[in-house]
This record gives sequence, structure tokens and C-alpha cells, in this order.
Amino acid sequence: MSEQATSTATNDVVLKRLPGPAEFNPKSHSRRRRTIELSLSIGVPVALIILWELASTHEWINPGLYPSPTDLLRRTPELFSSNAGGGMWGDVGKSMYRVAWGYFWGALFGLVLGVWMGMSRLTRAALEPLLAAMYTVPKLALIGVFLLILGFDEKPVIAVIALTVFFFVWIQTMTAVMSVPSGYRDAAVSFGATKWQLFRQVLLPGSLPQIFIGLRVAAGVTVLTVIGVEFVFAPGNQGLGYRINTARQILDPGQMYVAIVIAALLGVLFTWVVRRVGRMLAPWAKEDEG
Amino acid sequence: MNRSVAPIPRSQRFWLVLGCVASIALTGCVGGPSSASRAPDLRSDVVAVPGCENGRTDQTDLSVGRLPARCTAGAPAPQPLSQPVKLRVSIAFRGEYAAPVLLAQSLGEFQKENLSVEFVTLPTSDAIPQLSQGQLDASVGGYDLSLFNASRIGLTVRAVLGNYYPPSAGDYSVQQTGLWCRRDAFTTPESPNPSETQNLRWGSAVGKSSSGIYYAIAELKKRVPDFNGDALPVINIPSSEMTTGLKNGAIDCAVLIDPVWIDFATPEYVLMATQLPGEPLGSVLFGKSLLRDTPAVGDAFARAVIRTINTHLSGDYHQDPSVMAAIATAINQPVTLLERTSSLTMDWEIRQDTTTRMQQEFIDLDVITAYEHPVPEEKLVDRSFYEHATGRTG
Repeated sequence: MSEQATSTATNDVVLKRLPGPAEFNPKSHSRRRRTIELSLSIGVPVALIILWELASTHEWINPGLYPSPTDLLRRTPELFSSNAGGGMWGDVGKSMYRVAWGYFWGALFGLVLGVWMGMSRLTRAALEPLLAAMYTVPKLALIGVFLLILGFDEKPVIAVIALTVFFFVWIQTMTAVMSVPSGYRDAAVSFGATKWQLFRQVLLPGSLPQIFIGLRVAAGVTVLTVIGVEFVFAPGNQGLGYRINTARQILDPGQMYVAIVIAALLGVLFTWVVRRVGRMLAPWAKEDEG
Repeated sequence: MNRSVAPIPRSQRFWLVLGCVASIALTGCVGGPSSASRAPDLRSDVVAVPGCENGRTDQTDLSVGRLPARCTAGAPAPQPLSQPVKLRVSIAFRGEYAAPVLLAQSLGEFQKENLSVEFVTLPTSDAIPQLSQGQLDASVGGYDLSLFNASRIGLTVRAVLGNYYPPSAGDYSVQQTGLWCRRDAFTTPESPNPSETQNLRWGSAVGKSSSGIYYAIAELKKRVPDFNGDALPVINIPSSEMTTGLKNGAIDCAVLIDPVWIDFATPEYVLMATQLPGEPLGSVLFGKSLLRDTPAVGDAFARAVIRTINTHLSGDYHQDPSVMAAIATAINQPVTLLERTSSLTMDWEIRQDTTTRMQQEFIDLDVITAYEHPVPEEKLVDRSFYEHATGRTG
């Protein structure tokens, strides 16, 4: 649609809307727009990578500090095949282990408490102020406290991740359950539904798409948190965060960039898995939900 | 409403924003020249400096209780630069070890050379890229794996001055900074056997790559010839939790710095390794600006630091209330805390092959895996600045 602005003698602007290509030929316009969007989504990263390659190989930037993408590709197999410190496989495995357990416990407690507080006004009144206050505490700052309480092994790391995940899932779940229209609940109750039936037949289907949004956001945050925690404390000296931090400390930028890319891929993969699970469990959700 | 500036067309806005982002990124990556690069002074030849007749020692001497190089108080005399120069210097953390540089500023020694210094706190590994790009002029900190790697990837950074060594290093009758272990971790707690240390759990914030772990292993190898550090169980623990871990038995040993070790100088704990005697394990690093662009400014910096040591930090300076007050102010610690430990032996010289020995140990421990032979000392160390300042070579 195009616009034409004209001025009148009294300086009032009159806006006329005329049909454009989208209206005249919607199919072709839509195809063209999709092609442009796809080209941009692929082209911009590729252009940036080419620019990075050129800048590094022509030494517009210091290749020692900013190795080229092809250098990083060459380095990657060597990092994965190295046995020193368990190699990159060991780091990936350890970070995934922490992500999986931290996410599991955080999501479990978040879901249970979120549903309970969403259904019970009294529980909400009792716990919400306390949890809301705790929500604002930077979770990474609690690593010292968890080290004191849980000792110097995997438990404090998993606890920090679980706590971070918990708050994302709890808030989203509670809000999702509360936002199920009261008319649905009233209808179920008037038909004599038990509490379990109310939950199973009304609240769960009504809130699941929103709950999975929380789970998906928490999945990304889990990877961010595990990398942050491993910067501070990584039992067994393993983990992608430990690898990134160590590479920074010993000034090995190539190793650092490779580990950062792998951490990013891990985040994308984990979020994708949660999204797929969400679509399987809540197929009635709209495309942008769950 | 009339507009005096025509709006930028939408298509051009994208390129304008992209251009701005690119220029900001490139400026950040390449960096601008430091103020040191504008100084015109030329570097003089090495000539004898009055008061510095003892300003050089045998760089291979690592004997327990060796004396450091010293000039008389006030030497070397200032040789002010022809125009004021501002330098940006990073410090890994503000501690007594950095007193020569910090006091050179607060007691006016830099000013006598027409220098003014702005300090920033930055870990050595983060400072090195900035040094190589001229965004920082100098850095004060420990020898670091990042220095070795910097040289390997062709960055212009060199260690130019040493820092300190504990005066009683190597003397186990004196309690001091070093590797402290729980007595109950040994088979015979009343007389702990140093060889058992290789089987105990050591705590470290950065694994085996710390200079503390290096010196503890090197010192234990002197006490136990067949000491094997390869299989040493090093547990990763944040620095802030190290003492807690040692107290509650999560680890058996930890390298404790001044004045943290004082709380462990009790019958339950034992000092198993001191720092290496007579050998500074830290340095002042210079980057591109002072090494290549304006070495005369680097000479002035070195002169001011060396003069500060000779004038204020020589001998048992902990007995001098004015110096202690200056240090306390510079590092933001109470004098009473500083008084709990001994004076450090400040040493501007760099012992021969310290960097080679460190690298070899890290190669043996599999901490360095990227190369098999140490980077040669001449690519890591430049002694010319203290040689110019004291007028003494080789």
C-alpha cells in the first residue's frame, strides 16, 4: 500500500491510501517478501562472517586476537580430539549434565508450586511476597552460600541453575493457571468436577501453552546460567564456562571463540528440544505459543 | 513546524547505522594511540648512573637470602621528559606487591619525570591485548600464561621489571605466605612428610595454571626429588571460598597469600612450600607504546619506579610509618593489617630464565598443550629499561 500526502491551502495534511503490490498480487508479493526475509536471515550472518574472514586474513584486525572463522574451523577438531583436561567433549558433556539436572529440578519445583499457587489463593497469599523478594536476588551471587551449604561438588552448581529456572517457570505457570477464564472453572465446578478433574480437564489444557513459553525461556536461561556459574566454580575443572574463562585467562582467543559458539549452539538446541516437546504435549497451542 | 534538516531516507538509515557500528567496532578492536606515543624524546645510551654502583646483581643467583640490586636513596636521579606525558597503567589487584608503582605516583616520583599515571584495575590476561594495541601503556601483575601465549601469537608485550620476593622464602623456620596444608591430612601429623603432599587435594581458583601452584610444585621438587605433580588432585574452588574449603576439609592444601596465611599459622596447619627464594614471580609489563613508540618514556617510568624502591621501599620499610601510611592509602587497607606481615623484598630485576622454568613446569603438567618447547626468554623479557635506569648492564 502506498501513501500520498498532499497539503491543502490551510496546511492540513490529507493522507490517501492507494492499493499496492500486496493488494494487487498478494501471492507473488508474499513469495517475494518471504524470499527477501530468507535472504536477509542467511545473507547478513554470511556477510558478517565473510567480513570477519577478510578482516582477519588481511590483518585489518589482529589475527592473533581475532582469528578468522576458517582458523576456528581448523582448530575445532583439535580441541575436540585433545585429551588434556578431558577435551572439549568432556566440557560439553559436563555442561549438558548440569543443564539437564538444573533444568529438571528447577522446572519440577516451578511447575508444582506454580500450579498450586495458581489454584490456591491462600497459598499465593502466603508465598508470593517471599518468592517475589527472592526473585530479585542475583542467583549467581548465591554460589558462595550454596558452596557453604552443599559442599564443593556438583550440587551447588545444579542448585544455582535450578533456582534460576525455578523462578522463570514458577511465575509463568502461576500466571498461566490464574489466567484461565473463571467461566471455564465455574462451568467445570457446576458439572461437579473434582479438583483433579478441574486441573486435568480445564486448567492444564488452558494453561499449558503459556507454561511452555516459560519453560522455553527458562531453557535459554539455563545455558546462560551454567556458563556464568562455571566461570566462578566448575567442579572437576570442566565445563564450557570454565573452558571459556580459562581460554580468556591464558589468552587463547581461538579456543574461547570455539567454546562460545558451542555454548550458543547448546542453547539453541536445548530451546529447540523444549519447543518440540511443547508442541507435542500442547498441539492445540497457536504457532507462537508453546 | 518548520524543519531545518531534511530527514534521512529510510534506505540510507540502515547503511548509516551499519557504518556507525562498524566504525565503533573497528575503533574498539584496533584502538587509538596512547598519549605516550606523542612524546618526542629519544632514548639515551646506557651510561653510568651516580648512586647505582650496586644497581645490578647476578641474574642467575637464586640463593636463599640473596640481596637485591639497590641504588642509594634518590637514585637514579630524575631526567624529566621535555613535555608532560600521561600513561595508563593497569594493576591486577591493589596489593602491597604493587607499592613501587603506586607510591611512585602518590609520592611524586612520576611527576619528577614529567609523567602522570592513571591506574585501572584489570587482570593481566585482559590487560595484555590492550597493551599490544597501545590502549594501555603498562601493566602490573604476576607472570601469566597469557604472557606466554601473547608472545606466541605475535603480540608486542614484554616483562620489563620484576616485582618482589618474600624475604624469608625457602626458610621453613619462618611462617609466611605459601602452600599451607591441614596436618590431619598427613599420615604422621606431628611431622608431616612433604612427599605425601602430592596425594593431597589442593585447592586453586584457576586449576594448575596459577603461579602459586607453579612455585609450590617447584619448591616441593627441591624438598622431594621424585615429587610428581602430574597427577596432583587440584580442586577448583573460588578464591573467596579457599579458606572455608581448607577449614572444613573440602581441600587439604591451598596457596595462601599475605595476610590470609596468618589465620592458619596454628598447630592444625603446616607450611609445606614457600615461594621460591630470591625469585620475583611477577612483573611490570610494557606494551607497544613504551616498547616501540616511545621507549624514552618507558625509561622514565622505570627510573621513577626504581627510585621509589631505593628511596621508600628498601629494607624493612614496614618500620617507616609514613611509608606504611602511603601504602595503606594506595591499596585502601588499614595499616594494622599490613603490619601483620613482613616487608617484601622489592626487586626490579628479572631473574634469568624464570619464564622458561615456569613454561617448562606448565608443559610438564599438561597445562600448556599448545606447544612443546618454552617460548625463549628474549621474546618475553626486555631488561633494557632497568639497565638504562641504573646504568648497569649484563
